[in-house]
Amino acid sequence: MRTLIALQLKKNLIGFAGLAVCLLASAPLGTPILRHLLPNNDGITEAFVVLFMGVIGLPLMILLYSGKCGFQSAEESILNTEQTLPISQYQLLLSSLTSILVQAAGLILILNFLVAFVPGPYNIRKVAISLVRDFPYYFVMLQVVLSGFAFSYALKNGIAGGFFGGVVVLCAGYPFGMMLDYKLAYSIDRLTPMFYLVSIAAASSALAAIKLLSDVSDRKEKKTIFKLSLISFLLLAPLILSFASLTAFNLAARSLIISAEDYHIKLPAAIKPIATNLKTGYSPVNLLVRPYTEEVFFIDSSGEKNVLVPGNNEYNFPFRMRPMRKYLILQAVMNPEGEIWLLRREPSSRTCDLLNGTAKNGLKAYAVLARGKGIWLLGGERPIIFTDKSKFGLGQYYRCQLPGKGIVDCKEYSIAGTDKKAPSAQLPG
Amino acid sequence: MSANNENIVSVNGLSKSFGRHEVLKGLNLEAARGQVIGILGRNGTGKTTLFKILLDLIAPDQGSVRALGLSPDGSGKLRGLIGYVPEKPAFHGFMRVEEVLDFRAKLFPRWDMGKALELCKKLELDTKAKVKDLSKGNTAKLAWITAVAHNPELLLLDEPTSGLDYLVRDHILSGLVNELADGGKTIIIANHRMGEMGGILDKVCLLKDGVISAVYEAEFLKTETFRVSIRLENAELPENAGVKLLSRSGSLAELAVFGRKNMENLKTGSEIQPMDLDTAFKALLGD
Repeated sequence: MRTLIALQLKKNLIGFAGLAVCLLASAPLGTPILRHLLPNNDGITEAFVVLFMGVIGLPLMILLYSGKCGFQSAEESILNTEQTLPISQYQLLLSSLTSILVQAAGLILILNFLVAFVPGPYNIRKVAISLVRDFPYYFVMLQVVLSGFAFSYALKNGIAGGFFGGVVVLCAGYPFGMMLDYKLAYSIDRLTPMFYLVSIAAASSALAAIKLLSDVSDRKEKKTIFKLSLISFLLLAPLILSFASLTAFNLAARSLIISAEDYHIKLPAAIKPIATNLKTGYSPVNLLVRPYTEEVFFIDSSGEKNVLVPGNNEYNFPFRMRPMRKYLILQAVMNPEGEIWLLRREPSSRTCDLLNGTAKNGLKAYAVLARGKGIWLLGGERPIIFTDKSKFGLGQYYRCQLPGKGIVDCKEYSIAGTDKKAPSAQLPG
Repeated sequence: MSANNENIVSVNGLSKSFGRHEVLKGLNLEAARGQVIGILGRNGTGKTTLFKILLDLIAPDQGSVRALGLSPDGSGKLRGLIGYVPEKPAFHGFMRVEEVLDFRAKLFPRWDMGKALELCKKLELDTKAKVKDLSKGNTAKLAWITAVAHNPELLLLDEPTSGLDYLVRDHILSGLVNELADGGKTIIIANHRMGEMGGILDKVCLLKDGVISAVYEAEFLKTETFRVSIRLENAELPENAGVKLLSRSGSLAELAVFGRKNMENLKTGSEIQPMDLDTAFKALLGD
């Protein structure tokens, strides 16, 4: 096998060298060219160009390259040259695939080198680095190689094969990416092995498809409907697996209940001493969220479930593509009589909603707050809102006490504890 | 090791279709150790298909195939034991001749590099030459060398001298004779110019309509084939499988007659000459 891989690498040496040179030159050459073409765009830096190459350029290069190799493997001239060797036709294909994977790995290494050293804004470089060192990137690249090669070999056309292979990878990659979203959003750790299983299964199905294609195409075995259907199924398997696993995540997410504390930015230590004694009056409520339906509830001391925001049971069957994260902020305090103050912020909103009521009678909108950098609803004798008014979290806060029917006194605090009274009128924004 | 009289190649009921086109329809063929068999057939009759099935390059639709004690299974193992000269030999153009030999030495289990280099010298093939620069004749020489350098027990030659000049053809044929002289090799040749192989053949199989329709011993073809010039009365050709019309002008006909028995059946008064192998094969092909 090593002899065959060495042969394939030698055959494609010039093509690979060309790709490597293009990749290396993309940042130093691409940046000034783009800047010349788009003179008013300050965002174009070497890091941006490299990030673009990582997201679009390199996958496209590898897709076309594997498509070309797949087509080459089906060419009559190559068959005449190599099939008379004492190795199975499938081994020949595997050697070609292995050489492409080795070369793709080489290109990814070059990209890793570039993202680490090209100049540019830190945030773009950080995104680029995390992209090329993340497992899903390698899964996508592996599928790009396998699908591009398999489709080109099947269709005996590099361009068409690359196109269909690319479509399958894109369509499979999207739900795979959504799986990651689900995992990150809801910490469904028990399903983490599914990523690796899907990757292995998708790769295996592509290899199995290539084996069957070799039997039918090279060895001229009878093309039965069953065999052709099986080949088609295996070529589309990454797509099917990706959606199937997303469905599994959906099913797991439906039963998931998480604490609303996951939605909080932790209370800064600097203002903890300033916070009122929480032992009497309003106490924080341990809110629970069923993220799939966006239901918000808590379990009271008698163990009963109290629903504050009813869930939405309407969603697309059989799954949601994106995990829902309805709230960015979700906090509540409650007094012994059952009066509840609830603070929440939805992702699309620039303001926070403050609601008041009881679990039994429901909550009504009380006020709309412009958010600061952070916002916290604390209990005590009376509920208190702290908002971080500083730009860099250096410890300047507003403290507003509730209730005062829409208008409350707000004091400005600093870390040093000097009180400055802010204009009392509306709640600060 | 196979016994001396054991069949090296055994094909029974072999069928192969490409789409709706049936190429082989229940072909039977046997070749014993040390035999040299010619496969005679017109273009498109399935000679190359038969070879590819024996080489485990193509899967048969039906039938059984055994070669050198193995059945084709897709592993390619058979190809390591068979020497094959294809009709259109092809090698990697970017390699030099010596690199082709080195490459094959790593893949063929019984490769004899000494023999390969000796053959290169004998056939005047420059080992430093790039494959893409080789002429047709030199490519044929390289194909021959790569086929025999691993000392195969079975040689399959598909039109080995097609399109070659006399000198190269001579080189190939003398190489073939040398391989035979080593003893024990079974050779199956598909060649249009079967006449030039006549001296080494043991038998000739006529491949027609997807089957081996007739098998002739070479000795029979050399000694019992005749060219007969005859005047046909009432314009009728004697109905006989052993008599084939070569040419006709009015009532004068020239016939190829196979077998003394068929000769005796013809009217006296005909002019009879021994028939050369080329004409005999042409007559068989033209049937």
